Amino acid sequence: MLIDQEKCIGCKRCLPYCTSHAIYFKDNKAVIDLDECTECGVCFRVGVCPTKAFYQQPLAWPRSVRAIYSDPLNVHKETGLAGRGTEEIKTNDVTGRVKHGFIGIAVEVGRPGVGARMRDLEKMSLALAKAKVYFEPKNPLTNLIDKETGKLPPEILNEKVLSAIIEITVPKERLLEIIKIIQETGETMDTVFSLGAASRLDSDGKWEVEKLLSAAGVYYRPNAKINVGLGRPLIP
Amino acid sequence: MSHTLHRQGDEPSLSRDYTILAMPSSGLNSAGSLPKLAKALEIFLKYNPVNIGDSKGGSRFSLGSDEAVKKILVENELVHAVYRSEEQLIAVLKELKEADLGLSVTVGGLINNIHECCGKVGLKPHTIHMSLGVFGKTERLPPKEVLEISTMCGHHLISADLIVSLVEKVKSKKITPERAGKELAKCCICGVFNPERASEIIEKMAQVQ
Repeated sequence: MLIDQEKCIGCKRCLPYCTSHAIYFKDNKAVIDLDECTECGVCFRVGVCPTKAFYQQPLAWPRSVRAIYSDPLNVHKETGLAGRGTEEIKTNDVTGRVKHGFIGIAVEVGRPGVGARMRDLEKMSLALAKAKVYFEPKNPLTNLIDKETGKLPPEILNEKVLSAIIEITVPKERLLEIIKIIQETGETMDTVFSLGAASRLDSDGKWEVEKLLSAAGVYYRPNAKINVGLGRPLIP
Repeated sequence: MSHTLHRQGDEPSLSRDYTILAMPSSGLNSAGSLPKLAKALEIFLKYNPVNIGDSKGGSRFSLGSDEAVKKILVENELVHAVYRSEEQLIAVLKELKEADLGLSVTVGGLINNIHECCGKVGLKPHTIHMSLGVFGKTERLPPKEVLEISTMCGHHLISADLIVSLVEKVKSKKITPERAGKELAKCCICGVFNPERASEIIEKMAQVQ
């Protein structure tokens, strides 16, 4: 994103809207620090500028990575979905993506609100690849990850995004081991991440993941998201 | 993934914050899904949501009206709504079940309350996605009350600075908490932000400061 210096009147209204502290003032004009800007598009879309000074410059690779994982209006060619996410449990009653006996894990690096360089994501993908997990193929980040090594393309490592999600599936017996790896890797990162774990109901009518977390004394929030089973299933 | 997960707050506050989304699965039942998505949105609107939106176009507040949201629907996307009570959620789930659209429906909120609502409608939940919290360099996070608001935009398009600046404006009586909530909602593209809950939190923040 850029600001037309001829149009900017220096009113500073745009300043608090920036999700990345990327707008600063120089010679009484608002300027965008392109290294910090994630190309989320909020400043442009919300219409806060009285002179419409914001404009979107063309984004070539690798800078385009920023918008892909920061601006939800980008539609991924891999998933057909808008945003940085995937269908995950939202359509599990149709896809059977998270099966009985398995746990889906989502590590959203940069969330909430801190943002992340892709090099921070790589720390996590390296650790998870070493642990031989299954990377969900229909996730917009997975196609960038070398599944054997966990490496990301070197040219994108300095790109900054609002967040990006590493999505994996593990047998339920490995849940606690993988959570430990994720938490330890998090200690080496210069950002935060939000952690989620997904499962089906077991034969007792209990959530498989909740039973495992409770038994191990692992904290989870009282709120969650639940697919209520109204989709037409292809896989029972 | 998980844009309606990871909302923060205490249980009384979260008990007045329910998200719902309906969507097809890309390539499996997405062809011809547009009228079903439109029907789901129509059902959502019948029960007085505090926000609605679609994932590829915008929300009530970013686009300016519910009619604008209806007009931009396309195939193979998500439609969202946010409610303040279990009664509303039960009514919506009941009508969605009767409509039998074949779309997948996911609800966000307190786990026990969602179970109760599903039970009253005769739905057996299929899959859960639980939040285990935030890790890593947590000292970089803004204060708890700011996070309670900002985490309601799952794409994190609402900056902590904007929340703080609106709290200041409420405190100095330049704007009402309700207006502040709606201003924040304009930043959230997909419509999962709860402006009423935000205004309640802002009002408390303004009183404390």
